[in-house]
Order: sequence, then structure tokens, then C-alpha cells
Amino acid sequence: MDKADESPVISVKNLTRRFGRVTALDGLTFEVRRGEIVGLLGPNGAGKSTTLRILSCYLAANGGEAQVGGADVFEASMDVRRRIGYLPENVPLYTDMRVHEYLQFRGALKGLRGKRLRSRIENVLQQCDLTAESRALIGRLSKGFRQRVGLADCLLHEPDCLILDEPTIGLDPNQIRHLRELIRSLAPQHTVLISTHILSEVEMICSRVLILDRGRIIASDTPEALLGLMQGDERITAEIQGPADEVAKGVSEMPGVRNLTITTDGGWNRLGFRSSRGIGVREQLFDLVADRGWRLRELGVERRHLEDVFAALTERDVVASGPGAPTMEDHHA
Amino acid sequence: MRNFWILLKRELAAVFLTPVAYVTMAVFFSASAWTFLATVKVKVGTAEYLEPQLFSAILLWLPMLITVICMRLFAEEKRTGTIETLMTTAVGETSVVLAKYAGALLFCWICVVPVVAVPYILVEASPGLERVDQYALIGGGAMVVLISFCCTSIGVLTSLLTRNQIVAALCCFWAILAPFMVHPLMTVIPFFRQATIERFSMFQHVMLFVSGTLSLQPVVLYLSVTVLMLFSAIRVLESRRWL
Repeated sequence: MDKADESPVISVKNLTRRFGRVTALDGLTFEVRRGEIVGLLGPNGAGKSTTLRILSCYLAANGGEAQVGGADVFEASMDVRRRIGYLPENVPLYTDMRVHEYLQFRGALKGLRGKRLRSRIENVLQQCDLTAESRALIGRLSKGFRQRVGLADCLLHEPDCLILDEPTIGLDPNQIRHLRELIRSLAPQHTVLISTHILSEVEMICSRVLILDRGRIIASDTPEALLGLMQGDERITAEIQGPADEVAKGVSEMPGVRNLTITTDGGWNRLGFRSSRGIGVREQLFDLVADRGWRLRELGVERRHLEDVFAALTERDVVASGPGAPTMEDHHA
Repeated sequence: MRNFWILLKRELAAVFLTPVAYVTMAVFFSASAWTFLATVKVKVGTAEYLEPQLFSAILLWLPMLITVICMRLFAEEKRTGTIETLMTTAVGETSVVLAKYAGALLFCWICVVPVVAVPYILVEASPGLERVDQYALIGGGAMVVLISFCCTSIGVLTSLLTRNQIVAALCCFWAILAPFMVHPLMTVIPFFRQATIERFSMFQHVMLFVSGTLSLQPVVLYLSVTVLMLFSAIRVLESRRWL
């Protein structure tokens, strides 16, 4: 990898933005390297859209620095705008235009002309599966197709960096899957910064995740590493047939069992509890059931999702970032 | 400059590909022609010429026409969010403002020009009437062009200040109505008959040019206001990137 590949495509340092008394961004710092697909996660009002709007040169910041492709978003805004493809939230388009006509207009504004413009339009229409709709009025397209038109517009001038604000919002599962595959296919040539609420999507397509809360990065790592933060803790479920009070007493006395809940239905007790990983609680539970002569019909561990990490981080006032960030146990402590 | 032409083409297409443009043209033509013919009918047999009546009729409906044309320019883009897509492309604020302004101005002139044909048709149909004085028509027309420069620039600025088209229309209408109202108010309220206020009467300016008296003062006034309004509009559009 040469030095140009090592330098970050997006670099943000101490970015601050206030709207009146509300601080939307509070010293935000992060980097995105070439070819990365980075997911920006956060609850409503965390500052995701503000960050993307500043990076796309639509808004100013109160303080800090932001660069895209080495160009400063405040000092060299035209350079930055040439290097990015920005898809705003809700995909605003001119609904009175036809798809082909719209892409022609946008391509011309982006400096494409003649054969190059025609070939790029053909390419993006194919890439976004819009060829059949190229003569359709944008106003008559479904939300999913409009989303694709917006993405086709972003890709027209082959920008280094794509900035996508909630690109899957309002799409049906098939459309989401299609868009996910499309974004994934862009990764080698383009650097993608994507803001979304759909956490499963981030797990599937992003090489790195930034979790924002109240204008600050509270976690930044790969989805796997973030899931690793939760590894010290697991949630176990079981269904046991036996006297409810004895089952509850027996399980709660097992070492490492916390937050036990028990519901009884038709003689079966449904148990749920948290336990520290690696102390063999499931084996102990199995032995307990065998010793007492009870019956067991389910024993499982709930798989951890990024959603759990997201909830754990954003519901508590945690400040952690980057490699070596504290684990969930540290947060519990 | 290349972006200016692309944006102007888009602006004109956005106007002329909708029926609203043709309805606006038809309404303005009918209203102006009807006002002109009604005034001429009242003044038949007097020494009044056709040209002042024509420009009075145009001036009466011009504020409304400009308001209707300008109200959507930026307010609509702000409401739908397309302004965000536009301003995150490598397009300068000056190109955007000037293209919108030029589009609105061209549409305004396209609406006004057919009205100028009405006195010719009237003269052809009524042999007793005097011929149309072309020099008066050119003089008055030049002043209407200057007034449209100025009022459209006010409309562009007011459309930039809000995302609500109704609010934009009201602001624009009241802002450009004031200089139109100076003349009618002068005839009713003595206070407005002062020389200082009279200088801002659009009606007086047009009549001055129609009568063949060319004065630099209104030209400087309208061009200065136009430049000031367009400069302000560019700064307002840039202001999203200020703090």
C-alpha cells in the first residue's frame, strides 16, 4: 500500500457545531481510509446528518477541521464537492423530470459532457438497475426507485467518496437487500460514509462503525470488535418442567446467574438470565435438571447483535472510543 | 458560466413544462388587455394617447405577475430539499442566483410582450384611432424592462428568505407594491406629492419615458436596486455556510 492509500479520505478533527443553545457536534474526531465502508450510527439528534452536511459543504461548523480527499471543506469547498457524491436524507429530486433527463442535468452540472456523459449515464443506470425506468417521470417512481436515482446521481462523476444519509429509510426488505449489495460492490473504488438506523445493515456491509451520541463519538471499531465488547456477558434462555419455586431457587443459586426472570405456562417454566461468559452455566443448568429429575426442552444463548452494543452505549453515558476502548464489563463496573 | 446556462435551461424547462406557466400567461394577458381596452373606451374622444393607457394597464398587473413568478424560485427548492442536492454539487451561489433570476425575468417578458400587440390590433380594428407611436412604445417598454429587472431581483431575494411559497409571495408583493402605489397615493393624499417621494413613482418613470423624456435618474435607481438585491440574494444563499 503506498502513502496515498494510507492517507485518510475523510479526516475530521474537533468538529463543533451549535444550533442556538443546542450543541449538535461536540469536538467530533474521526478518520475514514480509502476503500472503507464506515457506518455512522446514533440515536435521533446525535449529530449524524449535521456531520454529513458539514462534510458535503452544505453547512458550516463553529470549530474544528474537516477534510475530504485532502481538501478542506471550509476553504476549498468546490474541490470537496467535486470529490464527493452526497445523497441527502429523503432523497430530494426534481419530480417533474424524467430519470434520464435528471441524470443528464446532474451530469452536466458535475462537468461531464458528450460521450463521457452518455456512457456514465448508461453505466449508472445499469449499476442501479434503472435502465427500464430511464424514461419514467421521477414523480411517478416508487420510493425505492427514487432512492436508486439519488444513488445513480451520486455515482455519475465517479467520486472518491460517497456520503449517504439514511439511504435505506422507507425501503422494503427486497429494496434494502439490493441497495446493500450495491453499496458493498462500490467499496473497492469508493470510500463510503453511511448514516443509518438499521443496525443489522451496518453489521453486514460496514467495515467499521462509528457510534455517535450527543455530538460525540462514543465508540469506533469494526462491527466484530464492537460485538466483542459484549462478549463478557451473555443471555441464556431455558424451558424447564418442574415446581416453579424450586426451579427458581435452584437456578438463582447457581454461580454467575444474574437478572433471573421466570414465567410459568402449562407446567413449563420459561427462564431468562444473564451470566458471565466462560463459567459453564449451561452445563451446570443441565446437571441441575438431571439431578432433580426435571425435564428440559430448550436451552439456548441469545446471539449478540450490534443493536445490543448500540443500546448499551447510547443508553448509558459512556465515553469510549477506538481500539483499547473499555469493555462492557468496565462500563458495568 | 457553463453552469449558469445549464441551470437556466433547467429553470425554463421547469416553468414551461407545467400548465401553470400557460395559465399565468393567459391570465396576465387577459387582465392587462381588458384593463387597457376598458381605459381606452372611457377615454374615447379625449386627447389621451394609447401608449400611456397600455403601460398603465401593464403596470397595474405587473406586481402580481412578478410575485407569482418569483414565489417558487427558491422557496420550492428549500421545501423539497433539492437546494441541498444542488448546493452540494460544484456549483457557485452566483450561478444559481443569476440563473433563477434570468429564468424569472425571461418568463416575465414572455408574458408582457403579447400585451404590446393589443394596441396594434385595436388600431387595425378601429380606423378612427391614431396610429401607435413606436418611439413611445420603445421608451415605455425600456422602462418596463428596467422595472422588471428591479422587481424580479426583489422577488428572488424574498423567495430565498423562506421555504413557504405563500410567505415568499406576500413579502415579494408588498415589497414591490410600494413604489407602484406612490402614484395612486399621490392623487389622493397630499403628503405623497413631495418631490422626494415622487422620484420613486414607477408610474411617473414610465410616463416620462413614454413621453420621450429620457432621464438617467430612474435608470440608475432601478439598476442599483437590482444589483443590491442580487448581491444580497447571493449572500443569503451563502449564509448557510456562515456562522
